[in-house]
Amino acid sequence: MKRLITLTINGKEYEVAVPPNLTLLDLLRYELGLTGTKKGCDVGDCGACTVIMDGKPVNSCLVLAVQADGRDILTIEGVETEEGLHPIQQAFVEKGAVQCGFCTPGMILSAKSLLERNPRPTEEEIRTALSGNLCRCTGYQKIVEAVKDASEKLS
Amino acid sequence: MTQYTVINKRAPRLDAPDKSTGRAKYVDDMTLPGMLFGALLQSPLAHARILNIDVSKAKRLPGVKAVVTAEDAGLIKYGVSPARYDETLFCHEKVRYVGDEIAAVAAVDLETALEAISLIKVDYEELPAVFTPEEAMAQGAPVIHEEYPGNVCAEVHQEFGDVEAAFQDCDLIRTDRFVNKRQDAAFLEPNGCIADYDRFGNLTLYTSTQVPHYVQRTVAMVLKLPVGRVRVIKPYVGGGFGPKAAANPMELAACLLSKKIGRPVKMNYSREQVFLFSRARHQFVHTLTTGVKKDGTIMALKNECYLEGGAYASFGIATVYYAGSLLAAPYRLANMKYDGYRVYTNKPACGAQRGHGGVAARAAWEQQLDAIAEELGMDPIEFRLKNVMSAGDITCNDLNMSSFGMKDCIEAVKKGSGWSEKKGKMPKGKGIGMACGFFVSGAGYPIYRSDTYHATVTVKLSEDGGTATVYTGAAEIGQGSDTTMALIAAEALGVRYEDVRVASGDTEYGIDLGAYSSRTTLMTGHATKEAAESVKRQVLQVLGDRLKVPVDQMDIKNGYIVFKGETPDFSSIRTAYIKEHRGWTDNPDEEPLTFREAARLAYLEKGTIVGTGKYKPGKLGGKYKGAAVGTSPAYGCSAQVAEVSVDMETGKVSVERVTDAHDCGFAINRTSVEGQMEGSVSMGLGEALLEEVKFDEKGNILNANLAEYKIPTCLDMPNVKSLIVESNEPNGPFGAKEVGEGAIMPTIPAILNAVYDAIGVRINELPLTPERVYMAIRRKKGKQ
Amino acid sequence: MKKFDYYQPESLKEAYGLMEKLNGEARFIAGGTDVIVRIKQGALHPDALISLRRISALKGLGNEDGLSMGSMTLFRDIERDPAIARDYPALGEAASVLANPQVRNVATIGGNLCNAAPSADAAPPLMVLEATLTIEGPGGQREVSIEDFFRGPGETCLEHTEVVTRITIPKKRKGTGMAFLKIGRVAQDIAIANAAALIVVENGVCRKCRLSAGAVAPVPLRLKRIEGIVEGRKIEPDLLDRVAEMVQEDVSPITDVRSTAQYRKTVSGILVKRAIKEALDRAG
Repeated sequence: MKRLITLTINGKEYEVAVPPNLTLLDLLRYELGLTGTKKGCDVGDCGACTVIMDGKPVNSCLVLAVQADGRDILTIEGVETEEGLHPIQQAFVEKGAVQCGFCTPGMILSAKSLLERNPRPTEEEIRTALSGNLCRCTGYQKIVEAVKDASEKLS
Repeated sequence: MTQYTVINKRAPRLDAPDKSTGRAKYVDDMTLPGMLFGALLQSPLAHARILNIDVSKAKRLPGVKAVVTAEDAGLIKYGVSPARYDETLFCHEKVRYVGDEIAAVAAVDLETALEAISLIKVDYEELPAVFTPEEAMAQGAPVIHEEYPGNVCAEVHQEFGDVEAAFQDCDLIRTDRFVNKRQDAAFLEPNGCIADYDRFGNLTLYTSTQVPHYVQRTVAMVLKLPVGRVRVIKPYVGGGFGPKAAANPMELAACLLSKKIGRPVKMNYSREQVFLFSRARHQFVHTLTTGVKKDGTIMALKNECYLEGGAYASFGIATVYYAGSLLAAPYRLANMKYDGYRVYTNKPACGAQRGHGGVAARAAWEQQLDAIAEELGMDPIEFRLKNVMSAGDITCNDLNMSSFGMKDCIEAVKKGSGWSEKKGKMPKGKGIGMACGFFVSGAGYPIYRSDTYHATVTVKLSEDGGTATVYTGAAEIGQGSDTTMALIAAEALGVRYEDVRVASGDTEYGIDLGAYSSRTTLMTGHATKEAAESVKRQVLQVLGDRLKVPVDQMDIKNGYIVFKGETPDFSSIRTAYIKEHRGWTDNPDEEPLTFREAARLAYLEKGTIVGTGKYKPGKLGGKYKGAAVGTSPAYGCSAQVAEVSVDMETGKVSVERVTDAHDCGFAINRTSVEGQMEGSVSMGLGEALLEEVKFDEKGNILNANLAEYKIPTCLDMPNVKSLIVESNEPNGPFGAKEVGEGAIMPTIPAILNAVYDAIGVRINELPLTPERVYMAIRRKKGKQ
Repeated sequence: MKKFDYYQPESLKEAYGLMEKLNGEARFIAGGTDVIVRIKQGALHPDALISLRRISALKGLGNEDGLSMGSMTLFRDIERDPAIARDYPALGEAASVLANPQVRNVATIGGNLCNAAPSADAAPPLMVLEATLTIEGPGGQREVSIEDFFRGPGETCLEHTEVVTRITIPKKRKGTGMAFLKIGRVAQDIAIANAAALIVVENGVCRKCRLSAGAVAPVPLRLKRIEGIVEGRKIEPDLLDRVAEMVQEDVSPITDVRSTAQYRKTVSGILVKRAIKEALDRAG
């Protein structure tokens, strides 16, 4: 039986009927067309599906859509500002932090959440904050550099 | 040195803005009208005879549009190398590993498709299975493929020089056995595809692949369609590293289903299915015997290797050759003997993974060389420098090192790491180690024997002359090839990077063998350069005719025409251009004659300006059997120093620093070169410390997920000091050659050598789990 | 994923009612990071999930006369709580290395305990802190020492209709030091082995010792025999080496995809030894 849920995604309110076994990830990707959130493992191991829920990064594959009822969700599609790329996105582009790009949305959201709560993180703090986001291409170095760079530009 | 205006700098990637905003489309992000969803039925048994397949219940399930088995697919054999086509789209008669494909379903949604799969009833007669090369090669072992009694998929026997005679002259001969573990490539994007067969008999396949061209050919062959009716489009791809370098059964099944139903069919591998499909690094068991002179001269190498290959050949023939040929450098080695056996087992097929075939061999040998240096009382770096090859050297198996900055790489990491201050002076539990390696810049031959071009590229100018588009079949899979081609085209044409667009990854755009064997920069790069130069020539010819200036007295740089002599009067061209673009706000003004104006003139004179380029390697060395594997137009090389810390009580290894020097010939985009180096180190570190696909006694994978198959996280990776070495490769476009795979070669042995330095005992088996290291430390204690 | 129904009761009473009505075919779900994975993998087949998230009685984190945590307290909140970092660092440390940041933002301490994995990172610190679990069900409320809570892998003393509501930890005594340690394959991993120690020292002599080891038996262990040997003694290197050996005798780990039993034994002893040393340093 479907449940009617209300949630805010990227500042826009949605009212959708969802079956209880639908994950937030599948709701975003396949029902709402917000495909920037990636599905890499579907069991919470890779972090590619990271979204920010009520201010905290979570694996959207481990959140049922019904559990997201009443919550505020930020996906990668909501990070860009009216002026263009968010400084973190800009830093990812400039520092070469993007290769295949599949981990990138999740990485950027984890980084964004970190910088909001800790504007000048140490390298160790950056690495810890990104430790739930796997990347197989970059060796993480340019990602860490990008987050450092963004933190300097933002603060 | 030539002054370049575009390349050899730090360019932001073309695709980075889309990838960092979620706009970049990967195949599972796409939806086509009327799209159905497919699912696969895979064998639960490692080896069994199929007695009966009953699909009737599945077919009756509401929402199911088609169920296909071998009966529908036919029994056309395919694979990677035509010499070992040993797969059919679906199993008939037998299943050969847990995961072997038996049937596929298309339905209105994935849930229905999966339910239908569960309704297919297969009767099996279980057969005895073999899981190791020893079991598979034993007398009376069950045979996996009737055509290969004894289960040997491929064997190689080569000797260059005379190894036994050379051993007679050696002062020291050392034999070591080394074992790595079967791996998973663990790319972040699981394989997926959408097949769309239209009313006109055209099949379009959108797929997460490294090789649109090979997939196009395989699909056409298996589905009996003309190649011209099959179009393969590669959207953005979330990493490949090898296993996406050939057609997979899911792609073929989706095509078959779409053809049968006439609607688009989407299919995805789950993460578990990625592990089941596998096609990643083999397990290699190397026994190496190396002989040296007292003064450190390497005289001869005897290499025996057994590869656990899994149920199908996949890339295996190439792999078993590479496991021999890739030890012929970077050291001068006159005598080399190789005996390799790639053995079928009832496990998922292994294939290619970054550093194809050479990674375990390199790890084994570089660790052995370190041990030899120690026995000789030589510093490992001095020992290597004594033997290292240089540009112009040709290996005993005819690989031509047309450029080779190996010595520069070694010296760079020696200095960059502070080797001399650290080696031998670190406290117990800390260690430093180094290693070298090299790799091909593209295979000299396509995977199927052919005179085909390896790349054809078209560069086309927009009618206003302002934009050049590069059309290429090359596969951007994350390595940055689109950006590289844009940079090469911009430099060759003389325009700015931002005035070039790239359309890629589509078989309609040209021939390109794809992203494997580190070939794209060199091969597609050549074709792109040639196409761009053709455009440039055409534009300059029209301009020269108009202005009465010889073409060789003009050039194009940074989007402007450069006149070597006196600047002629071009005001009529400018006036005409401005007139044609009345209302435009960016018309040329007081500036020199622009490329845009010249290109517009060329268009008005000749119609659309199109330049084409093509590339295939010239004649490469080697007449012996197997010479095709290892020969390449150029070779990249690298050296690394790793510094580790080992917890002497628990055996836990932390890699604290890596210094990496790579000779990429010439860096087209410095940021991308470093990215490949850093990524290689992280994959190598994972292989060295963590990664192993494990099986139970029935052939089921125990860790087919990223929770139990561990790859390094952000907290496990040290920072890498990346030092780019440039040797200016004569066979490369602008002197460029590979970086994507060669950079992984030294990582594992550098870590092995550093761990030895820390704990004083050699470990000849990967990965270096805390337990394995702990046991090694304990063995050593026991001996003392 | 299998189909199931979903309920979000607002009170415990409503939750028990639902569970009784659903005849035991339902499951309580806290953060869900474990339950959802197991449903996806086909290891669990509930007809319904009853979410505990809206029940206010299960929330709240207080540190007055000892620590009191609602069972729905997130690991993220435990990890970041300054009072926990100050008074109960072993718990804060365990919370900070559990799974990964995204999981810690959703996973709850109650869920981690009820999941009853032998490797549960929350268990060893709570064992040495002698935590008490408040359990409630349709039949009323009871209190269980954490030691008596675990019954086997995935098994606890909970009745199907019961819920852990609170976890309480006695007030920290002066001179107490504690530590949590774990070894995994990567920096943030399910433990190959984990351990916690709590030490109270007076005049250089150990007055109280509490030790726990995880992932080395069907349930997280208290190492009481060894505690008894350490108490009343000065903690010196010889004693610590003996402790490490005794731990090996008292644990009974299994071999799995993460480690062999033999290595778990060894490393468990080393972790306990190191945890005591670290606790001792902090006790000073």
